[in-house]
Amino acid sequence: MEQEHQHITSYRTYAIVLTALLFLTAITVFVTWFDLEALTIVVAMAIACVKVTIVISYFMHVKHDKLVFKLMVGMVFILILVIFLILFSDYLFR
Amino acid sequence: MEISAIENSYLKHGTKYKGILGWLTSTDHKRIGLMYMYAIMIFFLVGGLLGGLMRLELFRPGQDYITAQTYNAVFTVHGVIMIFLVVIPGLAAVFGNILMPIMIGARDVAFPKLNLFSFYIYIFGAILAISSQFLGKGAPDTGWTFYAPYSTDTNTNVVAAVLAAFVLGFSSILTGLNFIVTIHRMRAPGMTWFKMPLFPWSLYATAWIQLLATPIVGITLLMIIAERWFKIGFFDPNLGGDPILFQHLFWIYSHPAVYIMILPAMGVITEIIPTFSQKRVFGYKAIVFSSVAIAAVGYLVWGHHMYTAGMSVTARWFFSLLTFIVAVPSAIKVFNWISTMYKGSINLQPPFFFTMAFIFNFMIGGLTGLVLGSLATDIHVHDTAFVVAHFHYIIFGGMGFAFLAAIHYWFPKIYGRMYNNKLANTSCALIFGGFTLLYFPQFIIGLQGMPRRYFDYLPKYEWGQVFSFFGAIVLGIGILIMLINLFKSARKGKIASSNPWGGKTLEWTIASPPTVENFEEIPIITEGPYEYK
Ligand code: HEM
Ligand SMILES: [Cu+2]
Repeated sequence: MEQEHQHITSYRTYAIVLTALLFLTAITVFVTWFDLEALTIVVAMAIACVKVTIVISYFMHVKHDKLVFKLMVGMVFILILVIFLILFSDYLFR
Repeated sequence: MEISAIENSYLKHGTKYKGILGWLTSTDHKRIGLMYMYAIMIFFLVGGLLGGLMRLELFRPGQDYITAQTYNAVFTVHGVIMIFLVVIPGLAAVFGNILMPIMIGARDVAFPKLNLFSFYIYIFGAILAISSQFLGKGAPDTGWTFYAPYSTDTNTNVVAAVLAAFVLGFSSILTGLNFIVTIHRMRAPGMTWFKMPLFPWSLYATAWIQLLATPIVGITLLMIIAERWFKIGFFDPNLGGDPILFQHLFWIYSHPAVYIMILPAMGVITEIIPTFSQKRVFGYKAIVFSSVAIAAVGYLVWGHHMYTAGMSVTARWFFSLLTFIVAVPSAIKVFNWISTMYKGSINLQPPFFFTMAFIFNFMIGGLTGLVLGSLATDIHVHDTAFVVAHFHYIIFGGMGFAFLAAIHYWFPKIYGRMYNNKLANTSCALIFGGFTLLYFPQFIIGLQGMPRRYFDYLPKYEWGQVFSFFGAIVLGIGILIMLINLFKSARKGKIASSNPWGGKTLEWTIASPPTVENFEEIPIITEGPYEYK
């Protein structure tokens, strides 16, 4: 059988990740004080994307996983991106 | 000696429990697959009866037996049952479960308990779906598509039906996940990706659709419930929502879902044709890549269901282009099947006849799909009986016939017994004839303008509805004969050998029916799956 290598993440890293997530949540709330009009969604989604990336990389260990899993996750992201692009070929040109 | 094969098989041995409990608690992939099959068969008969009720009402113009409201409920329930309970699980849950692990040389799927759990989720969803018909303020009347904003403000029992579809989605996701892991991790030693048989390949492509597309419809259905209960304005313009958003979200799932139905069907056909031609499959890699291409491009064409909904012209143009592109890999497969048969030694047995019917129906369904996919013609035929005929040709004529081909192909493997060939051929002819008589006229009256989902119509469409009615009767008789033949043979049929058709894939190398463990020793694979001499 092939060797499954283990990676142990330190508490320190987790603490930093947690702080970063809380900080980003605070920003999400903070930006709702301003009316960004059409950009509201873009900003909210951008922050959410950063958070998702952090969660997937560290809490879900994809950062230390085999290439094939990274590719699978990447593929899903590309799919969502393409679906969004096509969707907006409707909303932007109506 | 051969009888003992049945005595030693998974049919007789399983868990520590005996009888029905031994089945209900079994994590054996073959038993789970069979349980799915019996459940699906029952739902198919219920859905079929509802279809018959619609045909009866449509026999003559005007109101005859049921009211307009009942008619709306009947086509909704017919659609929900057939789509979510029958054809989406269909081939993957039944033949995928029973045969895929064997075909890749494994003893079971990667997560057997999760597999059983998916089955119970499925049953739970089914109970919800059926009970939505009786509980609350009347059966849902939205059609299986649940279009907003009607679905967010009709008084009928939409929430239960929507929840049912949501729950069934989880069953589908978990089965997909299970299959992906199984195919990645449990192939027999030596079975590289390109030595894997093509039915498992098609299941692999399907599983990725199940895994990635189903959550989208899950969220969408929850959004309907949120809008109904909390008046959150996602879709209803009165609340500041956008009804077209619902259609986008719904079809982002539901177009890929049509490939959940048809890809495994194509996989089954790809197994049957080499066996009954005794010839190596033509263009193995082309078939693999076309499955993957269908799965990938299939995500991007959903807008062809919405040409008349008010999308931007740019989007409509783009979706029409993409729809034409996705037809290419489907056509590649048809060419591969034909080329495989060319100069083969064809063995005319029931599974092969069903397969021929599949190819014929799939061609008609696929080509009319292109009529619908091109922007200009779709404006004329959208929401007419033409669409109804198109998707019944693909789903029943395609996926349905592939299911029947599969059951006749693997029947001796599953039960260790053989059915009556003559009866099987008769039922195939009746089902095919009845099917054609039932759905072909719908193309014509659809082109003439017969709207879909109407319980009344102008007299000029009457001839088509009458033909369809008699087609439905012939079809019903054919199905009845087939069921009688199969049920009788499962218990009393002639004992079958382990490889009655001369197949080359791994399931034909083990006993009929297989033992609980499938293989005494896991085989080591050295050559491709279709090496006929
Ligand atoms: C050759 C490929 C195909 C093309 C180009 C195609 C195209 C289309 C189009 C454009 C429509 C929308 C018609 C309308 O409402 O105006 C449609 C409807 C439909 N198609 Fe296909 N199709 C194809 C294959 C399939 C397959 C393989 C399936 C299923 C296994 C399928 C199932 C359906 C269903 C269920 C509908 C009806 C949806 C509804 O309006 O309720 N199609 N098809
Ligand atoms: Cu579609």
